[in-house]
Amino acid sequence: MAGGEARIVRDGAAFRAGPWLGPPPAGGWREALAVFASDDPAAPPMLGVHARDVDDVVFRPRFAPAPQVRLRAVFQPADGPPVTAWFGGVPAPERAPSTRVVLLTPSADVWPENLLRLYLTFSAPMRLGEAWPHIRMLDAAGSAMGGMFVEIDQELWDPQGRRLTVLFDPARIKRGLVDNINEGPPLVVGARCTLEIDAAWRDAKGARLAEPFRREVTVGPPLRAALDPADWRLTPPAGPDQPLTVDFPHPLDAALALRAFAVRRGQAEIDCRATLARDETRLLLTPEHGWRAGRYSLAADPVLEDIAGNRIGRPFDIDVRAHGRPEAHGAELPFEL
Amino acid sequence: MAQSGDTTTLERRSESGVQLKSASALAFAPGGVLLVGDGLGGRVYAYETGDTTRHGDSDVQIEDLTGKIAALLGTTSDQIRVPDLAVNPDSGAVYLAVARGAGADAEHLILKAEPSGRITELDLDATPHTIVALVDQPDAEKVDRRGNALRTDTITDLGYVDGKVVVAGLSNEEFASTLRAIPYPFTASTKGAAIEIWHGAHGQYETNAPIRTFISYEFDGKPEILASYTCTPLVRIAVDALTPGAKVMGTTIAELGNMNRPLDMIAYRKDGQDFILMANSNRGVMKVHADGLGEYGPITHKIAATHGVPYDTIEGLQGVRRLDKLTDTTALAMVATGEALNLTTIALP
Repeated sequence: MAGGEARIVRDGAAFRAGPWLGPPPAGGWREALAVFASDDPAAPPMLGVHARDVDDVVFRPRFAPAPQVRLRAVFQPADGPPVTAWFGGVPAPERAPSTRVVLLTPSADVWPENLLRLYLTFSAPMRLGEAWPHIRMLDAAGSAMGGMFVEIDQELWDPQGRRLTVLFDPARIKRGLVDNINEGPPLVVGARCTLEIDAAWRDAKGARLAEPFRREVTVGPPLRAALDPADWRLTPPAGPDQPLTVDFPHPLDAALALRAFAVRRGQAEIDCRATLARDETRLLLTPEHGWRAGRYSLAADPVLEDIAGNRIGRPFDIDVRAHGRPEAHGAELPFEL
Repeated sequence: MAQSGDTTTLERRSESGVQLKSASALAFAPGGVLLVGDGLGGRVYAYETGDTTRHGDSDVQIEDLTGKIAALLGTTSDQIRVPDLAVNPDSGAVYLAVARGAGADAEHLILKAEPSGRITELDLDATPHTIVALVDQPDAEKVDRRGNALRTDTITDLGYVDGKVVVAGLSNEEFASTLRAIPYPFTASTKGAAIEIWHGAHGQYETNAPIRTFISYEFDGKPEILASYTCTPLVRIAVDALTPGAKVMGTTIAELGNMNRPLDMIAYRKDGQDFILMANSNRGVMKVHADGLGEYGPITHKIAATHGVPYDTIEGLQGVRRLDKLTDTTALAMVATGEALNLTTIALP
């Protein structure tokens, strides 16, 4: 593009303007070529790197501009009027909503009064940073109940942005705190309420949810006891490829239950697939390579919690006056085939 | 790269390829060292910015911050998040943690806003830095065998306190807290091991509770942490107690109203008196009268909604999401006004 009339072209990811024949501008190449991604006159030009290529000034943006953004490139030759060129501005096609809530745990339709957290799993990655206006608990009359959740800016997502952890406000769950005394627990025994996710929540590609999500629940009594492995029932597998079944008296935290259990044979850990059933009161552990006759053990990690945050040997909020300060611990349950 | 037991510390000068997996919390250590908390990546970065000179006026005013950042990064405002900011006390420049992209695959970068309003990017590769890996993370491989590794750590706050980088975290699975106190400068033997932080409710009920935000605060000349849990407003924790593997119980010294959580805090002195300015989730901005804060005993009994340290609510300040001290008499506030996010300089009340 040497010589001739001043012009700006898009060259792959870069913008190329010319001709520039003299020494570099006093204030750097950004004085010669700037690309703007906003109509706001106060907005700065895009970040990027300038270079000279023979008689051209080349600007490579730090990030590839979004296609729907209209770009205004301004070239100011050393001697002559500025040249402006427009690029991009291709409207993003309207996306048909397809993302939906595919899983809510706890799965049961009775939730304990001191339920500590929910997991909401979506069919596709979601937009981060805008969860709270779209999640609410409704009372029996359909009115939104405020102050339910820990609405932190840093939403607690999994690495893919598909599963959101929603914590009920622990200040209202934990006994003895001001909010627990004055406001009561977020959920009250006997109440019927509904978790509602509205469809205006957008996925990572900008589309709304395909449909709202609702789960009606009844609030049951609180779970205040530590987990006790003596209450768990192991059913040995019916065949070499069948799962080991473990039944629990109350639902376990769905995320922790899937990673807190291991099956061992001697010191060796057996590769198992873990699944939950019966509203997270049943764990199924299926070996990748079948069972052999012999002695095994089921090991539970101390991180295991039920849906109210109770651990093995230590409840979520312990009355230290009555029970001291017991430690949460793991457990090992033998079984034989 | 040096390895020591369960910790890895990298020392790197100008190697390329820093990839922040997240940047949810920023703070400064002395000498223009920017601390970046990357919870998803399980790391804390310390950047020696060399930005240690103050140039005149320190007032920062940026209207429509997300719009300006979107323009810089060639995208639309709805693709920009600004999880945290920190003012460099040496230069008065504002450093912003920025995510470009709507979803979990967003790119994370650090921008620097100067008092002139000019915004530039901190070159994460070219800026000398050290890194510490946070230990006590679950074994990702082991989790993977059970399907997907879904557990993440989020750093909710970090700060430099008495020679240590203190990091508060929250997991998306277990409720237990993960506070860490990591000696700075980071060395090959630096450990970022977790400390259990407990919270007692008025002498009776105890839980292993996460910390949401904190500041360094001196009690009788000794630095402590003044912190807010996810479940109660104001506790103090001795820095000496923060050793790997320790179990630490915070002391509750104030209740600040029902259903209210501090989002950010700064300590300052005005007219010979000590104050703490606190941005809240539910009750606007509070000016806490901190004179004699050390004399407030622990709250060990059931009480009304507010108790302990006195405070005023600053009526003129609405929508404040983040605060940092700009000068001895001013603070920087990130303020949400409708859809827009503005950076504005306020006089310390």
